Amino acid sequence: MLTFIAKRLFQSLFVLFGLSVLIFVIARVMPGDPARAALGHLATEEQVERVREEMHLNDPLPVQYYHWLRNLVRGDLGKSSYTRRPVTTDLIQYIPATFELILFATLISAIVGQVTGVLAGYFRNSWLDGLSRLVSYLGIATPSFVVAIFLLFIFSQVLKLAPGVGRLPLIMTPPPRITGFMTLDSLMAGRPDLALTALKHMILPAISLAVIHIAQEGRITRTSIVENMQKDYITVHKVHGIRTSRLVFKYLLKPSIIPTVTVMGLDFAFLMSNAFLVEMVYMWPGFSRYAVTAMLNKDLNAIVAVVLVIGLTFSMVNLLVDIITMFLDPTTRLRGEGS
Amino acid sequence: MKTGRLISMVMVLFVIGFCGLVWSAENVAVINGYPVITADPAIASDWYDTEAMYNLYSPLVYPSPEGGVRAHLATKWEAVGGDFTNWRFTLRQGVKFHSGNELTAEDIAFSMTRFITMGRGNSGPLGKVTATVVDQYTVDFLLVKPSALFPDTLALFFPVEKALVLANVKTPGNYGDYGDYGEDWLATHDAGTGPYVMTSHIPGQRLDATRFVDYFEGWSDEGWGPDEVPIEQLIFIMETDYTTLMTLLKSGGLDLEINGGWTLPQLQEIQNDVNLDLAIVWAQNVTVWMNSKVPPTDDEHFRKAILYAYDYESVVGPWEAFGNGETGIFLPNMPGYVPIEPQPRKQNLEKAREELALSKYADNLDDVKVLFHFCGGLDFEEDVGLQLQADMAQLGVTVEVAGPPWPEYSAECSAPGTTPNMTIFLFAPQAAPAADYYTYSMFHPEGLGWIFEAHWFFEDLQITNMLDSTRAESNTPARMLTYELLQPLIADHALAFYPYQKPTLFAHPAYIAGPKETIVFVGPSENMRNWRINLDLKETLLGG
Amino acid sequence: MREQLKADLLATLKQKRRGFAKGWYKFSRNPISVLGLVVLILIVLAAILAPYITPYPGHAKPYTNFKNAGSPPSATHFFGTDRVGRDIFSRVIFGYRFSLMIGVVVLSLGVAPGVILGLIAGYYQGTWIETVIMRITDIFLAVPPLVLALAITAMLTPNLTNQMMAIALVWWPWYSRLVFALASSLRNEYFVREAELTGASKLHIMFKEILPNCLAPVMTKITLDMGIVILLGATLSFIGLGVQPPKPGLGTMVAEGAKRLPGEWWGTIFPALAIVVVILAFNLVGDGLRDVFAVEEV
Repeated sequence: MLTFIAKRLFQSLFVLFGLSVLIFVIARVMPGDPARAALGHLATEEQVERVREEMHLNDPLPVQYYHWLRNLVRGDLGKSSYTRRPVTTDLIQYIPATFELILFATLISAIVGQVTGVLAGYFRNSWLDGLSRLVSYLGIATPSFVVAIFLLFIFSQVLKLAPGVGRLPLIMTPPPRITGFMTLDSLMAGRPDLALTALKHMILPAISLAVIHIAQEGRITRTSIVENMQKDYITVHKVHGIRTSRLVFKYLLKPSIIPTVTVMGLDFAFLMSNAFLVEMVYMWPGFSRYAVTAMLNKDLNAIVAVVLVIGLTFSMVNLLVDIITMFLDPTTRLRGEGS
Repeated sequence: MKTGRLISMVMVLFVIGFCGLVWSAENVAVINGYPVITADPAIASDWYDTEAMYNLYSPLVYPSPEGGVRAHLATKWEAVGGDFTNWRFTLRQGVKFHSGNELTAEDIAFSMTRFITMGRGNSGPLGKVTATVVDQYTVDFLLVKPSALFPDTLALFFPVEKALVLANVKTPGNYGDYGDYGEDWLATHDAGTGPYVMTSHIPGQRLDATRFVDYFEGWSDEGWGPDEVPIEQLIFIMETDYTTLMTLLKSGGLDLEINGGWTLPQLQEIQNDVNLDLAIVWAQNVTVWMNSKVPPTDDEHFRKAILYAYDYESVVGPWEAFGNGETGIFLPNMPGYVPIEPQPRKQNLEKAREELALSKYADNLDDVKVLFHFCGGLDFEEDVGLQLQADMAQLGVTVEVAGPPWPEYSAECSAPGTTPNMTIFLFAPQAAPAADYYTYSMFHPEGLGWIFEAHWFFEDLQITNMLDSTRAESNTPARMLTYELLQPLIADHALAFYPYQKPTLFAHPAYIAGPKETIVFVGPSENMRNWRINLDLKETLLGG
Repeated sequence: MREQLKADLLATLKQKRRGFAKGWYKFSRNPISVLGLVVLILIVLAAILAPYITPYPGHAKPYTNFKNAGSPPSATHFFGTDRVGRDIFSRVIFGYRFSLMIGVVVLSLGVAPGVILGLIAGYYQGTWIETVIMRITDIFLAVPPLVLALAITAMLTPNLTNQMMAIALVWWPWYSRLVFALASSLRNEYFVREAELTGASKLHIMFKEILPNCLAPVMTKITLDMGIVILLGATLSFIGLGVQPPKPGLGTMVAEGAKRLPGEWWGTIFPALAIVVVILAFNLVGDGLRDVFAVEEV
């Protein structure tokens, strides 16, 4: 099994390397002067030329890439032309906010998706099944920004049931930052009320993110539950009079989990890209909103850094999913060891 | 049932959390301003960071309601030697920095050198200035070109505390021995003398400040009512979602809004609400430049055609309820103003067609394309563009309207070849509270360039000479006469059209009062020392 | 000779027609897929005939009427008017033109290269050719398509053309991956081996033997992808990097209207619903197609 992991790791590294080359080349080839963009219009020509030398912009492309790679290894991703701070500082500040949101969304989609899938599969062809199929069709067809706007409009603005945009109400002082997770930091600072408010503010954006995945995971769970329900061993258990809940949880869910886990892994990457839109609508000060701002403002260093971070996360999650799948499904493990 | 009790406990917690107090009759003002990225007065640029500048720092001279400047950190100044290149400023004694140390000429000279050397922000209008210390309370400024109006340009020069900054420079940096000149530290720290002291700053998100009791001008109650007290704490937030801001404004979570991004229906809603007020502060001169170096706007007749084709009344109609519409090369309430052609400012398609026929593009109007750019996200500017697009379509001319984001828009306008045919900007009086800011900066070859001169026309030497003479003329009536002669000359070249004088409106609840004096200049209205809060009224309006 | 050819041709046509009829029968067993198809046809027709059937076709072109700005849905303006006074209903119909165009152009540009590369990689499986092609595919698939498309569009001037190029650039890898999987398993089938033994050229094998057997899943994927590509296009426009105002892109309209919530809700809600409807229609049709082809797939 270790050889399998090693092989996959090597593959991921290669892909990331290729990605870095791709995005770097695109960023450097595009029109625009990064030196002038960093200094602003009022800087003199000498100042701009000096910065151009510093950034190695006059060197051939492979040399530039080498310098950039060296800085990357040292943890220096360059300076953002928009916030005028090191990109690494920006990333450290904004990533936890997005992570908190994505984790919450994954939790919601996992629970709700599984529950609806099991119910739909168990009571297949009933009205429950039909309803969940309808909802899942809608869920897949609706862009995340539409969901986000709808939810904000209905629950926050019209019904006034949920708070508005942002992580906390504007005048509340955020707790001192330890992890960057608003809920955890608030609890650690001894302010459970703040943690609760933060949680409330996360509900609508997390649901907006989760909707499409609830739809997909629900469908997949339903399909595999239906498949497994036909199996002989289930019939045997039923005949022996096993309790329904035990049947569902112990014998049906476990084999159905494998395809779900695979899908969840893939979904994580899509969660990250949908977070772009949800964070925009909810003014969430997270990594994805930073990414969108960087792209709208042609902040080249930030764009490259953002693409790499996403690529890295995606690869790691895929690797993790593969490993988990191997644990859960012995056949994959054997197959994996064979190759 | 254990679960039942657990559920009800959770529910109770939820309810408590839900009622989370958003307001209180505390002496705090939550202000929604522009996103302050850096609080460094040498880098703060345009008018974007003036909310921080005017509260945390004091400028050397202060804009006065009549135009021009009055004494502030400096008590008097004079041109030594009579040729307006050498200016001597005498400082007020006993002015304290937030650190407790006294302000001296050393700090002024250091700050000026720093300002000019770093060469960013609002240092442009000053040109190259050399500062020398004469004695503990006297500084000399040596200019390269004589300017009778030099003191006016110091309204956006905010001295910093030399010792404090030098103690916090980062080496190595761009400025030799001075390292990074304290740029990194000053971005989130305070070295000023202003009425408020910074307590925390998260760039782009939030700035907290508390009242500086030892502020040199004091906190007099003169002119204020018995219940109106100075604001103790300021919280500057930088929210861009105006639906949220409206909710906060109505519920007491927002005390002052200075960014002014309300939509027209929202402004009307605020106007109709008894508990909310709109303070009309400075005005913005909406200017649409026409690039004289790129076809088809390189032809004067074509430009004149645009002037007559635009429907001045359509976009502005609903806005006129908030303020006067007419404007010209500079703002009507500045001394020396005269109205310019075309008058009346009404659409005249007949004349537009005449001018088009006289232009060199008369025979191939189908091939010409006019690019109209505005700063992305700004509705009013986009509306002007869309209106012009529809108007020119009636004449058979294609206008393309696009709104790139600010950094790109700004970069486009830095050279004549890349500037779009038409660019729209809102110029608020900043850098200097006088006509000179508009005339010299925008029409002299040595003006500010960039968005200030996006017409790129400097061929009329008569105009250049007249502009030079306004700078050297210390006799005010003579200078005003020159301005009055200048404006029609400039207007004759049709380098811009001026759709509207857009008022800046600060929305606030009725328990906040201010500003004390209306100064036609960006910044002083945001000086929270000029505002007071009525705590009793606040309690009544929110508690009831 | 000619008689024989003619007879062959007729037989093939009859076979195709029978195949088509069989397929249609299977498709029509799914009432919601048929519904999707009907809606889709209506949308396509509406988009093509937009200038003739919309009440205010001029509003999709330069037009302003600030006096009538922000009026709610009424008999004269079914979806109300926007901030500038333009009729939203007409603009939505014209907006469908952009959406459909994005889908068609992107898939035309992206499918062919992806399929060809996948074929080559699948045929030459196990060699360096396969490794190179598939590793490049992996690189493009290393980030979600939205992110890469955003990054590329961001670095160019945002407009419709660049947006389509960027999405196409990001889309081809999915097809090469799909076709690679199909081709590499088909490659070892008996009929391919036979063709090789009888001396058929590599091109013939790839395009005449393997490709026809990949068509069904590719066609299904194309239909499902139409919905996703349209979604991606709307997303880019929403962010501000796609169809630029004042052009009536659906995503652009949602973004413009979002600033006016909740008061002038019609500016956002109707374009948003329009997006959902067209994507849903494509998804339903795609699902139906998948059922049709399911049995054929081995």
